[in-house]
Amino acid sequence: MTDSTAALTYVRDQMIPQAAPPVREAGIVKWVRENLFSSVLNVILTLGSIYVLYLVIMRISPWLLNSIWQAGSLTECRELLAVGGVAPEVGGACFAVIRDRWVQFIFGFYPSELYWRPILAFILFFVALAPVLFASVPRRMLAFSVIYPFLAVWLIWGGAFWTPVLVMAGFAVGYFGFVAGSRFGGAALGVILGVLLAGGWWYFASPTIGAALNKAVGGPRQEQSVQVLTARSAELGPEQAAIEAQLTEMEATIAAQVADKDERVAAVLAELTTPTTPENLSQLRVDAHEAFAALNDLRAQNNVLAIALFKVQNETTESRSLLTSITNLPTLEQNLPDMQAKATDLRANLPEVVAGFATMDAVDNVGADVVITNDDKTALRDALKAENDALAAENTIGSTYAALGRIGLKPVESSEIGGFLLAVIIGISGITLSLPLGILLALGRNSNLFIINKMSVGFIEIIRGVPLIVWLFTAQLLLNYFLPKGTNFDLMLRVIIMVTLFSSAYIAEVVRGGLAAVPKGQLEAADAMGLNYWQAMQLIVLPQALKISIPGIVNSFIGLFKDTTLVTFIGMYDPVGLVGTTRASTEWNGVYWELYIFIGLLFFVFCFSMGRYSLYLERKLRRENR
Amino acid sequence: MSVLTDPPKPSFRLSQLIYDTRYRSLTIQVVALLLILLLIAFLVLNVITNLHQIGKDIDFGFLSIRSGYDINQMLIPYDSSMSHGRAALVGICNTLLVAAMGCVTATIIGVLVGVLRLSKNKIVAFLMAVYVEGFRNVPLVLWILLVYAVLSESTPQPRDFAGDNPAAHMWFFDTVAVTNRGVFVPMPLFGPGSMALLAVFVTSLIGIFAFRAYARTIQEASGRILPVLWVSLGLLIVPSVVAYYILGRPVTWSSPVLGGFNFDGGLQVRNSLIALWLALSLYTGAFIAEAVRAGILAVSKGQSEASFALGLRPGRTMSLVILPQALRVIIPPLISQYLNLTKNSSLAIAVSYMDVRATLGGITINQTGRELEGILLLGAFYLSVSIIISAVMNAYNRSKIMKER
Repeated sequence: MTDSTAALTYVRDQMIPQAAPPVREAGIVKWVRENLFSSVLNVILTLGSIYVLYLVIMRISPWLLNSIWQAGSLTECRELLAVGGVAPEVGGACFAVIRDRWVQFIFGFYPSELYWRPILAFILFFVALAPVLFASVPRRMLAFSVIYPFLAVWLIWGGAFWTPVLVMAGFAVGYFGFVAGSRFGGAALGVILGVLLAGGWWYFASPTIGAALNKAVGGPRQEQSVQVLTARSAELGPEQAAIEAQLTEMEATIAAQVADKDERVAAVLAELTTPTTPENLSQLRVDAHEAFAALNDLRAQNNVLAIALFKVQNETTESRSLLTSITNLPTLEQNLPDMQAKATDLRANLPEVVAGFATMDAVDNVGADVVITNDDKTALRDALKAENDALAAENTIGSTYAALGRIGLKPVESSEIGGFLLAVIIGISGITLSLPLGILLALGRNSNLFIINKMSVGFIEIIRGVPLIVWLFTAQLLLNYFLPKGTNFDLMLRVIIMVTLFSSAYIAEVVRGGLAAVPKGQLEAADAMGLNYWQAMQLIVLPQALKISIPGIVNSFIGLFKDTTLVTFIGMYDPVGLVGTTRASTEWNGVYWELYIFIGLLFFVFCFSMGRYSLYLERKLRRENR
Repeated sequence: MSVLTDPPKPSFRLSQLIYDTRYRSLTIQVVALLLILLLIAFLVLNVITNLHQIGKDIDFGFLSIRSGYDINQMLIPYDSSMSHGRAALVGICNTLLVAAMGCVTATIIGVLVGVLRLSKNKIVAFLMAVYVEGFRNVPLVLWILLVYAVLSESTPQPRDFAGDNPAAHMWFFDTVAVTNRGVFVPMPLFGPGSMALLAVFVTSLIGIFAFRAYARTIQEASGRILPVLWVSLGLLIVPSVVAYYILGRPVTWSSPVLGGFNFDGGLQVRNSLIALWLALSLYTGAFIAEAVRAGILAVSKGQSEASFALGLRPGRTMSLVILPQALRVIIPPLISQYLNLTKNSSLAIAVSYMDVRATLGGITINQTGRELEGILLLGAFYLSVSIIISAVMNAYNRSKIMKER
């Protein structure tokens, strides 16, 4: 017995303390083994990507670390790099170009003293957006969201304050028409009546009322304006002369400073090729940098002067032309009826062959079989001239009263808007307008009303089948053919319309996918509850369909925002177009990486954050499987 | 007596058009149709009056007029003495060329990146995520311009290749020269017997398909798996190479040779084409990668687990279980990406590549003043290409769709 107990002493009577897992099976080593080196292919992939990362970082980091942020031109950037002893093959980024031009990239050619207006509009945009995006914001804020579009347009383009009010009134009139029409004969009639009334208001009533208001306010102001303008003109002359004198002086100083800088740069370069002492080199470098700093200071002062001069010159021309128009106003107003009568008369008496022609080019455009004599041409020329004169007189009278009677902001032309401001304006208006239109189109495509269905399908497929650039060219070149003569609206407005139509077709397809994903039982249940079509859509189907389509809709928005860069090809100055002008300037010829990185980053921030917001929204709205 | 069972006489009042759902849909459609017709009539009348006012008419005769401008990149013979119609055709070929090249490379990039982004290897997955997000969130124009700027500003000039100690070297055993005037690659010269070689190649392609079908039948009948990949590769290469030597090398290559200040011989591929092609492929590749990733993620995990439980190796699991199911999800977005790529090729305008927008929709319009006709034709071209691509791809999609029994 004792033997057997003795033989059993190896039986453990207590637990072994827990040992740490083998190194290979725990912690970071395990993770690395499992994730990075699990198979031959994986090892190759890991080593390959580490090598690629190494190459990229080794190439980019010195370039970024050596970057130059303050210089007047690419040549100066290179001089600064050379002074710093950077080898040309390593190089350094010349971000000075962004420091020099970033304002232009943001605002385009928007008048610099009015920058607060787009900035304010942009900030208010988020105030208007908050109640739409976040449910926790008080519902009363939605009223501001409704007013915001008009406010923003007024802030950016300026003009009299009653212009946006008149446009808003058009919506009120349209709504009144809709309510009246629906009470009288159903929603369809309501929509038609509303559209007709609103269209009539915008086309006929609102310009007339606007002009009348201009005249009512501007008429009495004439004399006072003349006095103010004359006094100001007298001041402007000496002001301009003073600034010009300062500028001339400044130019000489800058030239001297440039020579000084060149000398010091040369000294550093000489020292680098034949070194004497390290102290000497660092002293020379300090000197050179000081010369550059002084030059930059001078340039900054020069810029301030140049802007001041530009403003004074602008004001001079503006006040002069306004003075002239005010002086001519009585005569013009008196002659206008005669001019118009003469134009109508000449037009009515035109020879048969040239009747209806609106330009002299038309004579060359007609086929060779039509004979047009010189007399016909003269008659046409006279008639066109009379018409143009009458139109010009009418426009001058209108614009003079508008300038005199403006209670509001200084107007800004669309052509002055550029850079990211342009991209954001087109992007945001396109996004806001295309969503409702896209939903309507999707409903149309899903509808079982034959004609509506086929029209929606046709519209969507034609729009989607043709590239946006072709649509933009259509807006630029062809829209005038499709509209009555004399309707000539802003290129930016045309672009916004085209971009909206384009994007709405894509959104329609996305929403259609969402509609298809809603089970048929939902609509049938709504029917059984006695809801009509619009109620069923609004309360039952669309909330579910839109929730499903959020990622797709946001992707379309991102696409639309990126597509705003295409307007550069029809002559608008969006950021991409401004890269062209910057690279064409003598100072910055040859810069490209820096500019594209800057613009690319800005676009990336916009688009990436939109994408992230859609992911957040998707997660928030996911009610099942929570 | 029959009076009692007579159905009530159908009566129709005008108000039923609005209040009765049986007629209301008709009313709405008629009103909508009328409004649309009115709108169209309005537009057409405006076009007629406006055209008359500037003395023009609608006339497609300009297509047969002498064009008088040169095109620097062409697939079919053309010179400035030929017609505007021919120039448009050259542009169409160029558009289709860059679209086809782009579709192929974008698919390859997209599939690779989409699969790699799902890799457990975090470094690779991170790099791929950077690529995808970077390209998806930055406008395509910017990429095209950047690639073009890099190609034309940081590549050597042709004269850098000259001399005993040249500053630049040609690639791939002195056959490819990358310069700021374009990339010079060897050009195949087709001698007599090329057609026979082509016939051999086509036959071997047909052979590959036949073999794959045969292997599939064998596998379904007996479960035996034939080595499809190696046989296919062998069929692809061996007969053509053998025929090439038997026929006495009918196809020769003309390599670019430096002569004076530029390269002679070979094929000059302009930087505009390369920039457009690369940017389009990389940009669309990022979108395709997302589609591929979504498609693979859409296949439920149980499928691969079941496949492993059956003893299939990871490669076969991918090719036999996951990919066929993922393809169903991938194909529809893939179609729209191909369409997008084709339409985006019109951004050739950024680098002056002579596509159809530049010839028919650009120079021809400027020279003849026929904006209306030119843009109509341009739109019709893009529309028909879109319709053709989506029809072909939809047919392919139908063949892959789940057959529910």
